[in-house]
Amino acid sequence: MAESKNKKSDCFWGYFMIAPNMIGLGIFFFYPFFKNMYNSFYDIGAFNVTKWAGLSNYKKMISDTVMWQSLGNTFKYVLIIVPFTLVLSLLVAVLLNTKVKGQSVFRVLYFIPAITMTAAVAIVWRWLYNGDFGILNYILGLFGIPSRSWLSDPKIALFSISAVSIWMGVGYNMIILLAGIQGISGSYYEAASIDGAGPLKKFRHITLPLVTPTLFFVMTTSLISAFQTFDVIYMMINSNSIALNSTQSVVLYFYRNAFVFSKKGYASAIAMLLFVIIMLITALQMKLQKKWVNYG
Amino acid sequence: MKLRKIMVLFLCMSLLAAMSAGCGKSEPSNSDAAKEMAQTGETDTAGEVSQTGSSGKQVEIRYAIWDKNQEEYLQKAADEFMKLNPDIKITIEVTSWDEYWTKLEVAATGGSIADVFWMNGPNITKYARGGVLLPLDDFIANSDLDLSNYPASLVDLYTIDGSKYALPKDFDTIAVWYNKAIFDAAGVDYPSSDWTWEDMVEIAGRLTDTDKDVYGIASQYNSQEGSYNTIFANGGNVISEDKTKSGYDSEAAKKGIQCWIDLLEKGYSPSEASLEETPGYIQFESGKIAMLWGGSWRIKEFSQTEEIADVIDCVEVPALNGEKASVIHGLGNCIYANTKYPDEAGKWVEFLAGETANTIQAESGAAIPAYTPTVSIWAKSYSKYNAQAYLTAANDYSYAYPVSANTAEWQQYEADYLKVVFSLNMTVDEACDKLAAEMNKVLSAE
Repeated sequence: MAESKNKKSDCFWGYFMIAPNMIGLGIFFFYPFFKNMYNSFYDIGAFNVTKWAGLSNYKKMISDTVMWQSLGNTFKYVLIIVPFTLVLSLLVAVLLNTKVKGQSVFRVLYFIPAITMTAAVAIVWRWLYNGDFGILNYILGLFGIPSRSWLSDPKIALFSISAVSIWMGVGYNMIILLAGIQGISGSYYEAASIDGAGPLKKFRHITLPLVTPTLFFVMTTSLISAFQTFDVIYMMINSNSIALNSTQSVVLYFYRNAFVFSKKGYASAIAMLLFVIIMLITALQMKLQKKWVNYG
Repeated sequence: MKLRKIMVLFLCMSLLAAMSAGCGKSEPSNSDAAKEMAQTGETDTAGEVSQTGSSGKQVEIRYAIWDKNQEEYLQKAADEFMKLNPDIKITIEVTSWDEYWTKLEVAATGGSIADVFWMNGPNITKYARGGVLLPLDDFIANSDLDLSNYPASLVDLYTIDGSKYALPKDFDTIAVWYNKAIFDAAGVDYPSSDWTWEDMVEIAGRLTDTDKDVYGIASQYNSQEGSYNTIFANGGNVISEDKTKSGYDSEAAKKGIQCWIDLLEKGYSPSEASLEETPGYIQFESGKIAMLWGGSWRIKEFSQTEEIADVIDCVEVPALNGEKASVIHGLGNCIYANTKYPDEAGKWVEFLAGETANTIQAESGAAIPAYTPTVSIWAKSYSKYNAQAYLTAANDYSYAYPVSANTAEWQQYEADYLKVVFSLNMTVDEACDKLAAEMNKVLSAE
């Protein structure tokens, strides 16, 4: 009797404790998701004048070249940002796990970009990249490399933005990977040392396989965030830039449709497309992980 | 034990509080979230106002603007107004130009829009037909305002479907700024009001010195300060008079754009890319550009930029094929259709359109006042420049800023195509024909 009462009260406290998070999820994620799905079947113009549109928003998407271009840009971002972020953050994590002088200073330095506001980062990088007064062109000039318009040349602006995203992402992922690496038991390394394995061999045969669960987590999250790239582009590329069409991601195009062109219904349809793509890729990843993730 | 439970409860509460506070900062990734934010915003201010209202004190009128440069004089005007109307409190809200229209539309949708706000030509039809604006006809009829005191093109601009929705606040025209120091160094005479486009091209060539990183002129895609003027001077138009057809596929309009492209091809101007990263007026302020086509709203900032303030002057735009043209545009003050205080908002708008506020505006030099009896005061406040050039433009050769119902939509195509032309990646012919086709589609849907 006393026991069941205890269980009930435990249950209550359990739900109570997760309530803030669940309410937040409900209001800010689940409700908007279903509302978005609903909106995608309507024409919603300026000042929310709403009209039933059926599937016309989805049909329109098929012939919208700008939409497909921004989807292509998004894939480019993913293909550039994710591998570089993973390799670099793993490299930094491994290096910072060795006994270097000023280890904690380095850790802080690498983590700073992750806790700095994107807006501030973007403004600073805009100045570094500036074609006329930027320090990047100045430094390249010292080596005789001609100036470039890093952010307004449609051919390279996408890479310039990716570089900033990578720079911002490395610190955060590095910390997670570092935690994963430190969770590996020291006895493996000891045994390897006795067998005469060098640092490279240890990395290849001990660190890498045992850090795969963390690596998988980092890969999934950075993949999703790369698909949702928005803030860096929004802050670095002006809405009147010639490089806009060759740099805007799906999320930016969604934003411009919803809040600049007042086509909220169409924007919702774009968001649905992105949702489906991300879901498929994440599902694929979950499947593939069995092949390479080692849960020990 | 009890203490622990209380602690837990306290923690949960603070978590909840933190989350709801965080909502204001989050990116409005969904229209509903944004709407929600806007609505909570409204109840907040409403609560505040009704509180002060019930205690029989003040009514708050919120006034939304986008130009930080004009905040100072408007605050002065507001102080003056509040002296006359102690029961009304004017709160000025400045939002940067880049965000102003996005924010205004979201606020209008959610009902938290300011009581009185700035309006421009490209957006007036959308807002008037969207039911966001209060028609001002009765209000004007019952006031002491005489609309013949305002430039007719502005009064027309804000008359939609026969009703007036905004009172003109100021107007702007185009003139050419030049840096005398660069002219002196190259031994070139300053331009005079009777110069031609060919003179300008010739001067630009002589002043361009790429070794020193100095260019004769800035030729960037810019409709109001650039191609619109040359299109009109060439006898073309952007949009037909009955607003049903684009004018871009005409020879006259194409020539009006080609003349800017020639400057770029001759190398007399920094590239479109360079001008996009560092806008022409900033390059002009840093002495890298000798001549700049600039709207009258630039004058205040130029006069306050120490590096150039004393070595620059302005002159009327050059004649193209014997014709001069300057776009005229101006802002208007609007009242929100569902404002809680239409009478108080009306008083404020009437005051802004009146002589006192316009005199303050003219003296501050913030913008050319729309109340024409005061324009000479504005010119006097810039006695060291030939500010008269802007007023001559308004009187002698001004063309109304081209608008239709969905201006913003076709302006997007305009920018998309012409930017490619200005970055020299498409011919004027091809871009203009494609642009005209897109524009006609938008116009026929209106």
